[in-house]
Amino acid sequence: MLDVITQEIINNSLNAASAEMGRVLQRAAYSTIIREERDFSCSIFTRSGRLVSQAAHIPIQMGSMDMALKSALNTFEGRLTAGDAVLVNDPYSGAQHTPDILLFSPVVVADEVVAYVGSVAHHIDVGGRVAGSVAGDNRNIYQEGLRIPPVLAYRNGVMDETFASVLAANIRLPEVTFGDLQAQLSANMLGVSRVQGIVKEHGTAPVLTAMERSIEATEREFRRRIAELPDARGTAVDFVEDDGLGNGPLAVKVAAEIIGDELVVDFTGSAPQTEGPINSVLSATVASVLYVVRAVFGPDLPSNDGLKNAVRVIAPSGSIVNPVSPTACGGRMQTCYRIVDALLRACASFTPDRYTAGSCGNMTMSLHFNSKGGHAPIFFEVMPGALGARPEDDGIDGTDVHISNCLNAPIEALEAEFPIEFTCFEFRPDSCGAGQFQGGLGLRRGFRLHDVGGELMIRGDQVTNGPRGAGGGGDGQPCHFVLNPGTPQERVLPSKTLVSLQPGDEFVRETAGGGGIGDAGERNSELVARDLAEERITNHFIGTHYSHTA
Amino acid sequence: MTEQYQTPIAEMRNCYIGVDVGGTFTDVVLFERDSGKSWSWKVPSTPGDFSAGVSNAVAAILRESRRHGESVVRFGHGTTVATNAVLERRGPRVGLITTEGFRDVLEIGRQDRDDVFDLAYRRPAPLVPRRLRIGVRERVLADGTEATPLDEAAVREALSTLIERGAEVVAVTLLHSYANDSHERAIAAIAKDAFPDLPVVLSSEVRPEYREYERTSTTVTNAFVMPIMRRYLDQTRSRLQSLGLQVAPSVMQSNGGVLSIEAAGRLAAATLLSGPAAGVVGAVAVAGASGYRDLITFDMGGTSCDVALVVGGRPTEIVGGKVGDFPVHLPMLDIHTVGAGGGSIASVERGSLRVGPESAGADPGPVCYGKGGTRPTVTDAHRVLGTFVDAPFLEGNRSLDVAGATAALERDVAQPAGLSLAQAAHGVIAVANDHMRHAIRAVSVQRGYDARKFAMVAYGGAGPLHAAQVARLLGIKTVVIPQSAGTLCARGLLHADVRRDDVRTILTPVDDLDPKVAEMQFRELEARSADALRAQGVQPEDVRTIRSVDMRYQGQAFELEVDVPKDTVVAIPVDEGGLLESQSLLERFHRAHEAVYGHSRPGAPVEVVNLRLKAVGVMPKPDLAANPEQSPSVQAPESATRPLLVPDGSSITMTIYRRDSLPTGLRVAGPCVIEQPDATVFIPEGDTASVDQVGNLVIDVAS
Repeated sequence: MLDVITQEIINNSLNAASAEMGRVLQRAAYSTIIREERDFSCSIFTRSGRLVSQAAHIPIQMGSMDMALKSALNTFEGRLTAGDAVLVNDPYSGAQHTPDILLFSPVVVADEVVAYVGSVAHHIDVGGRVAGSVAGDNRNIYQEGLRIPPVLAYRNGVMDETFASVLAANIRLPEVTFGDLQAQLSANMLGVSRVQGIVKEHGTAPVLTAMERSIEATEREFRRRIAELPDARGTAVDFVEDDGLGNGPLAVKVAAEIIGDELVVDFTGSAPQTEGPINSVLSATVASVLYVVRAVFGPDLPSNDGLKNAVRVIAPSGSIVNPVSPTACGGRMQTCYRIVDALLRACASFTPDRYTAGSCGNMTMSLHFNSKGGHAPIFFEVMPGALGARPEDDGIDGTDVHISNCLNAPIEALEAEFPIEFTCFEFRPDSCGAGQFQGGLGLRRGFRLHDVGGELMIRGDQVTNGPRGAGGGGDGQPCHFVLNPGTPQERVLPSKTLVSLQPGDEFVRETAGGGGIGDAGERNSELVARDLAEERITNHFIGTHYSHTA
Repeated sequence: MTEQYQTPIAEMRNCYIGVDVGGTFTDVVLFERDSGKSWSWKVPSTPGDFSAGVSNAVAAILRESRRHGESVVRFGHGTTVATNAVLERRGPRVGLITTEGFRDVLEIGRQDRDDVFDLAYRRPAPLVPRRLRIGVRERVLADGTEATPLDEAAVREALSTLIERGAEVVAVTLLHSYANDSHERAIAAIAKDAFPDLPVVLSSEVRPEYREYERTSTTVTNAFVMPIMRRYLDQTRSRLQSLGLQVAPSVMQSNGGVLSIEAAGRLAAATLLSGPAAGVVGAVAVAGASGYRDLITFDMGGTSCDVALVVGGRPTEIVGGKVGDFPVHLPMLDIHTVGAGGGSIASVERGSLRVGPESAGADPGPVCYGKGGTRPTVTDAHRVLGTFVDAPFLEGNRSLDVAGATAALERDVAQPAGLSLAQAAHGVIAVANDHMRHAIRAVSVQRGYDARKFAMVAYGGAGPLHAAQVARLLGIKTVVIPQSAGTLCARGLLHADVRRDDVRTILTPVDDLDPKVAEMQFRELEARSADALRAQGVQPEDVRTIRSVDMRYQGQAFELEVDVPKDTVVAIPVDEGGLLESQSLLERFHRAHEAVYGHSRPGAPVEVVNLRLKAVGVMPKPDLAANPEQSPSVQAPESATRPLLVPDGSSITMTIYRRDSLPTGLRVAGPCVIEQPDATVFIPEGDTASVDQVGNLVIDVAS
């Protein structure tokens, strides 16, 4: 018999094990992207491949690791023994984009697989057309680096020689990548040993039962919460402005429907897959959907397969939310952010108390310096925008939102590392969408090159239309990327582009503010006065939107 | 709690006093050096003006011990005054001056969210609102060179605006001020000239270390608590003077060392985790007297449990932690906290028995306290089992309400889970113990230390009740329970040395490190620390300094601290050159990296980030081993019995001992309870315990 006490102790132990896997991975990794920006996730699965425990890392990665495990098991189930690990990064085999490499290991007890553990991490480069493998103007997956379907990369904890030599020959920084893979393997081995310890302490049968029960209990609770609402259907559409190759706008159309105790999310009517790399493969689309469903129905519930069972996703094959191979998909995040905004709004028709108005997803830039002397060669950073308003609250100023949660690097560190000088990092007053509840403010971040020029790549969106307001609320100000503002050389850049910078050039990024919710005429005048005093909005903004308070 | 001595009032100056000011109680310990005797006492804290509680505690202990205030040579105290101010956000209005264009760094932070799935998440409001943050035109670069001179007119205008808007204290954080503090100092000079009464706090003084957000947050937090701390310390000093104390009080810091009252007033943020740090220092001292130097400290109270790792008598440290919502980037003991305590609430959710993190706290508290609590807690489970039945600290309500605890546990745990009452109560304890096991694993096993090789020191109100069971879960064989488990923090204050940390960020590739310059900088840090310690009354011969260097692989954002033994550094006078040898530094760094992260990259470029200096002023302290606490020589300890509820629902008879009646060396066997004045020790079946030569109760935990 499995009692509630043992159930809880096993749940806690599994959660401690997945969290510890994450710490091992972060500690052992070579690259800053894993170590400092924390772009990785770790999970434990049942022996049938169902997610049972996960540490809270990056939602976009967390939501669909099991899809890659499933494709790994399609090939290798029944053939894995202790010390084996299956590696996969192919977006058309359950991964999301080529830089994210997943690694799965079986937990073997008495010659029997009792569970699997897995890790996913963003790698600095997996080959392809450009450093970092993801360019805003890639046209097919072959340009996005080495594509690896599930392969038995490790046997007895040692990487297969053939695989290692093929990998090494195809990537730009093999030392770093192999180090990061070793870190993933260490995390998996730790996870294996912790799960074995749990089985040793409680016995195989109780642990297997506890895993299944934990998933079932979560599923029951999600279904209960869904069923509490009457059957209803909501629809919404949002747009990716362009795909980096001049195609767009591209619609993300979604219908969310409650049918009994199930939620059906249907993307029928979304744009066909496009030539540029912004397509979101099915696993990325599913992860975005699961983020929203969890945020709306159960932020307090455990992260396991129970959630997935209560949701059905319909994503037409060949569309922007489920492209077919060999479509480019490295820049999926811009589409994933639009999925989140659209789905939150669709769900708002039955959960009007739990959504956000349109938000600004993050933008990515990399600057490859022309000279290599005395400083690091590539300055790469992700810059966030703002969260849209909530039904009873304003949005959040200058924050990473929804499916991402990356950290910024200190300016004092960047200036020591690169030949640049930052000119500003601050909120953008008046960039918020007006409304009874106001969107968050976008950010302004600028830097000037010292005595070295370089090639600048940017990948963003929302430069034409800002994040959308809801229920009568105004849109946020769009993003604005500009070279040398306020000078005769001023030049506004498109959202996805490659451009040469000269020494002394200043590049300023302004990210979009969040959309507002509700009629601006309903905004509390005390809040208007507070925001004016706080210099978050100006008298001009008040005159345009909040004249009722004057 | 008090021993009666008929000795005459001592006139000799040989008494040490430690006072720990908690949110609820103020604990005091007095130790007399020559006789080795000590006294302890507890009074209610006085949150309106904490200094009154300190004064009450000191007056009480002087009365009890029949000693004069003049006889006190050392007075150390730990306080939550600064912490409470931050947690409750009750403090002065702080203004902030930054480099133009960067005034929002404080609010943007690292731009992440603490809870990724909460759509209603709110970013904690910064301690300085936007209208009180003003940028001024100036710029210093990473190498310390001035790119734009300071606009002094803009500074004057900013100061006027801040004062006009109500600022009572001003913090200044300019970019790269760790490399060149001249602009920050110029602002301080302008402020002093124009507004002589305005307190100004410079980031280059609080923590001259790179990373603008963390430095700004630390500086602002310091500015926020500084006026409160100063007022409190002034009041405390004058109250103590009126009790006849002539000695200058000192204050415990988060790093386990003490600071003079003047220094604590300036560097108030260093005292934020004063209480827990004092507990660890006390645990190291008392367990050390019994010969244990590798320790896991286990402090379990009503709402949370603090654990820390001590290796070879040295608590592990980190730079930077959070106090409330805000990063404070100062060296502190590495204390890991989980929300599991005596007040943690038990419930059955989705087929699992959950304990915490919700807590009944002190108010209303557990059901059995009879103060209005209705939901069953860990303490209620103990009451039902019979391991904990009296609460001497509850005024007029010593005996705990067993009927209430039983009813709540039946209703919220046993019935929904289909368990018997006995199973439910044991289950609540088992789940709570499991949480604490994971907390201890986080500071030990997960950092590469084998917990089984450590002794556990248990204290706090609930620590000794759980210690043996938690130890068993971890394979720990020895548990040490100090004689005053409830006043260990106050005791720790008698054992703390004076400590001052300093840092200088230099951010340079290790190959470019000029050893002469580094040596000069280290000597500057040493001179600065020696002056500061001298000002705190430390004799030059009692000063010890430890140099270290923070290093990292180029491109990493986090660095590793590498100790620099003196002999590799100061073998030759500066003017002969070649002192800080980069090859040996590199080897140490690669080795440290291998040890901590499991790999090193000998070919990769390495940077030196910070020079760090720890300066310790060694203070006289009680010699516990030389002055063992008195133990009665009677052969038969006072004992009673009461029933213990076992999982099958039956009761067995359990012996209850009074701790102060246990003679040294007498071994008692579990199941039994040993009641101390301020804590209850539970010895489970199979384990044995005895009081050792220095008065510690040592439990031998069966495997």
